[in-house]
Amino acid sequence: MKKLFNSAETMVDDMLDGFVSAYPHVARGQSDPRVVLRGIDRKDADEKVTLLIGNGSGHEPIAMGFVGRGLLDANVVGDVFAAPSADLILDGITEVAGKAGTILLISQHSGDMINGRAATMMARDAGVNVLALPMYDDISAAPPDRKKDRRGAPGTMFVYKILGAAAEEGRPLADLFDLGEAVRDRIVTLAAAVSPGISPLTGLPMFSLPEDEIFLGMGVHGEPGVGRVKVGPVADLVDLMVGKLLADRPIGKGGRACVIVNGMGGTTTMELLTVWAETEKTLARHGIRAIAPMIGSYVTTQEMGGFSLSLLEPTDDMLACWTAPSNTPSFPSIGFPPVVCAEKDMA
Amino acid sequence: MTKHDLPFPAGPVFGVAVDQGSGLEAAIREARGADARDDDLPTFKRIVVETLSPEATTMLVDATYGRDLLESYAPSCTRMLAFEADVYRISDEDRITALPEGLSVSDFPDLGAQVLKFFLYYGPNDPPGLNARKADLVEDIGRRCRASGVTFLFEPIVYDRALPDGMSADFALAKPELVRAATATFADPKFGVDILKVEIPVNFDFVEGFGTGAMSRSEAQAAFAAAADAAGDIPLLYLSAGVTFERFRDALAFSREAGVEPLGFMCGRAIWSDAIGIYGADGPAAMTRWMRSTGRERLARLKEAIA
Repeated sequence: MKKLFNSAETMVDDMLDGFVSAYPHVARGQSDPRVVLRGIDRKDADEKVTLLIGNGSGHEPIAMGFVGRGLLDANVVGDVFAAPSADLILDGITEVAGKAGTILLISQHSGDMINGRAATMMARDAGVNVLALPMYDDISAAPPDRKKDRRGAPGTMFVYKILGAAAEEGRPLADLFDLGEAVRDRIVTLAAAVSPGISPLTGLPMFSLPEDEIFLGMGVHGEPGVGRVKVGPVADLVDLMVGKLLADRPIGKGGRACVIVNGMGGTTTMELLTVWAETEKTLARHGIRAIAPMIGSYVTTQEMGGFSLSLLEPTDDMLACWTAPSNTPSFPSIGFPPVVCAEKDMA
Repeated sequence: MTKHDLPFPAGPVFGVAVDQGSGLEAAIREARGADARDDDLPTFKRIVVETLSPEATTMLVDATYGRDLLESYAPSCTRMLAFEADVYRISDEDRITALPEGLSVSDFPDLGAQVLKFFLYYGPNDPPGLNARKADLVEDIGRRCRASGVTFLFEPIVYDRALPDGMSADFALAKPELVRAATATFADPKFGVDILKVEIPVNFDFVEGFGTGAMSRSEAQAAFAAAADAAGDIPLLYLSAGVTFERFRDALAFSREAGVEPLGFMCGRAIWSDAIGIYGADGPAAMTRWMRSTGRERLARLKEAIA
């Protein structure tokens, strides 16, 4: 498989060179070039709670593309498909820490949790006011009574955005942490993998899947899921997935759900919009209004084919934060202004 | 977990490791020359698994290629998966192993992997603060293994910053104590380690009768015994750490002379490193034939050495 890189040794840093030079929103950190900070729109960290996350590279635009006003203050970029080290995360925390406090978001996978917690402890030992917020939403990884064993999946973008908007308003650390947990506990995500991504390290597919099968629940690296289904009309697939999501966390008739349709990297906008259309129709059959969708390829695994579907039953406050304007290299404008939402709710 | 609760058949453990990454890939590419293909490394690993798993008690594969390889194991062979990221910047000054991003300990049962292997460079003479961080890391992984019902095999590889040349006589003389100290540290039940995969505590290039004689046979025997005693009740697997087949076979036999009763061994390159040249020169079919004959014979001779 041909890939457009200089070398495996430099591919992450080469990408970051391009990223920071292309977007004024971002800049490299002083402590380590793998820390991406806001380039503009920085606020006094003694006044505003700062948010950051660490992740392996290979999944762009997440999460470095979400650094900017109304979202993250920093992203710590690890090697390809490797959890960033505790030292690197500590550098990121130290770069953004201030008197208002810091929240380290952690997408729950063992390596990220181990290193994230270690970094948090080291930072706290150094007197930094930082809290670690584990995020998990993949319903295929564990049943509802073991939610805390689930892994982080693209639905965690709800947490980033809602906390980012709330932090920008100047809300205090404890309130933000509580809000983050509340959002997390309302998110459900299920993925459908169609084809593997090609590892930039090895040049080989990351897992194998028969041509006529779709793997439900598979994680972004081929982690085990819930099972295989035969390829058929996407409406049937979406119906199955929405059914599983609502069975896991029901939303009552007349309720509403914010939706993320996330492409895994190799799925076209044409396909993703079709998935959204079917999702909206399917939710409507359940008496649920699909609102404020985020549709596109944001959490990717190279050219992996497939998508994930995430639902959030928002409070008004969460919805307002989800749709609040932001200014980052990659986060889209969410097309459902809060005022319209409020009007519709009253109707 | 007692020795009897481990997910292996009764008797000694005869393990084969094929979890190497970019270093092995480079060696195969060089051996293949113009015939090199993108899938040489997974093909090589698959041949090792398919030819040796019927004879081995357990086989160790890496997180990058291993998930597919696990399906190729013979039913009798226990599945062991490394919990390490495949990265090019393997270690910084602190030498803390990079963790995989997309693989959780809780995934192991669904992947069919019964044993998790984690390796970490450990310098018993390093600053206490750094070693405390490494200890926390191992303890955290051990806790996750217990929670998921996964057997935890931990592999400390020793070093000493004051003796950077790992092949020197000075390091050879220091190594027994380094291995003993690392073994003693991680045998503490708080780490939840079920099996310690440890280095042969002496370098036979410096042992009387094998090499220069900087260390007498009796000193070498004492080093084996002291390092093994440090493990307490934790079973030990000796690792070949890149030595030749003959040297590893002799070391295993020597451990028995020293009165040590290891659980068994984990051997990688000592068995299959010569297959790289076969694969490079004559391709996969020739390597398969070599592994079925010479590879299996080598494994059998190592079994005899530790019997």
